[in-house]
Amino acid sequence: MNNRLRALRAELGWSQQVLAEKLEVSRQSVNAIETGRYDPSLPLAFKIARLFGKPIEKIFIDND
Amino acid sequence: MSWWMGCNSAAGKRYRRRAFVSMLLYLVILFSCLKLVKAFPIHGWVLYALAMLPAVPVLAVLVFLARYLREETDEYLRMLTVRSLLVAAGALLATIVVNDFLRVIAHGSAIAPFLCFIVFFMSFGIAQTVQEMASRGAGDE
Repeated sequence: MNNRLRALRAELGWSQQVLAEKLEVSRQSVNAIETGRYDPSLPLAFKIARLFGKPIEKIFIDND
Repeated sequence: MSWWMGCNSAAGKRYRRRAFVSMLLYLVILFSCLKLVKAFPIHGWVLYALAMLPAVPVLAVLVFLARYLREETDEYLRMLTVRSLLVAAGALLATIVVNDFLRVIAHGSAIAPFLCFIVFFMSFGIAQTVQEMASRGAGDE
C-alpha cells in the first residue's frame, strides 16, 4: 500500500525521529511505513491520520 | 543493529536484561551441578533434580521471549521478532528432522539434542541480522 507519509512529514519539517516520537513508535517503524515495507495496523493508521489532521484515505492510498 | 530485539524500546531492554541474567545463572547452575555430581555419590530423585536444574534458566529465556512479545508496544518491531522466531522454528525443525534421519538410517547422530537450543537462537539471531541488513539504507534519514 502506498502512502503520503514522507511528503506530509516533509511539509511540517519533521524528521523520522520526531514523527516516531509523536506516534510513540520506533524510527524504524516510521521508515518501514514510509518505504512501503510495512502496512500499519488500523489503530496506528488512525493515530497517524489524527496527527496530520487528515482522513486515512488521504494518507494511505489503496492500489486496488 | 539499532532495532535488534527492539533495541531502543523499553520491552527490548527488559528482555535483554532478563536473558543476560538467565544465561549467567545457567552457567553457574550448570557448572555447579556438574561439580556436585562428580564430587558426591548422588542418586535417585536428587540426581534427577540436579540434572534438570540447568534447563530452568534456558527455558526461562523462552518465557522472556513470550513476555517481550506481549510487552513490546511497537508493532513493527514485534512483527520483525515474530518473523525471526518463525525462521528459527523452521531451522530447529529442519535440524531435528535431518538429525533424526541420520540417527535412524545411518545409525549415527550428527548433533547432540541439547544443541537444538543453540541452533534455534543462532537462527533467530541470523534472521534478525538479515532483516536489519535488508532494511538498512532503505529510506533511512
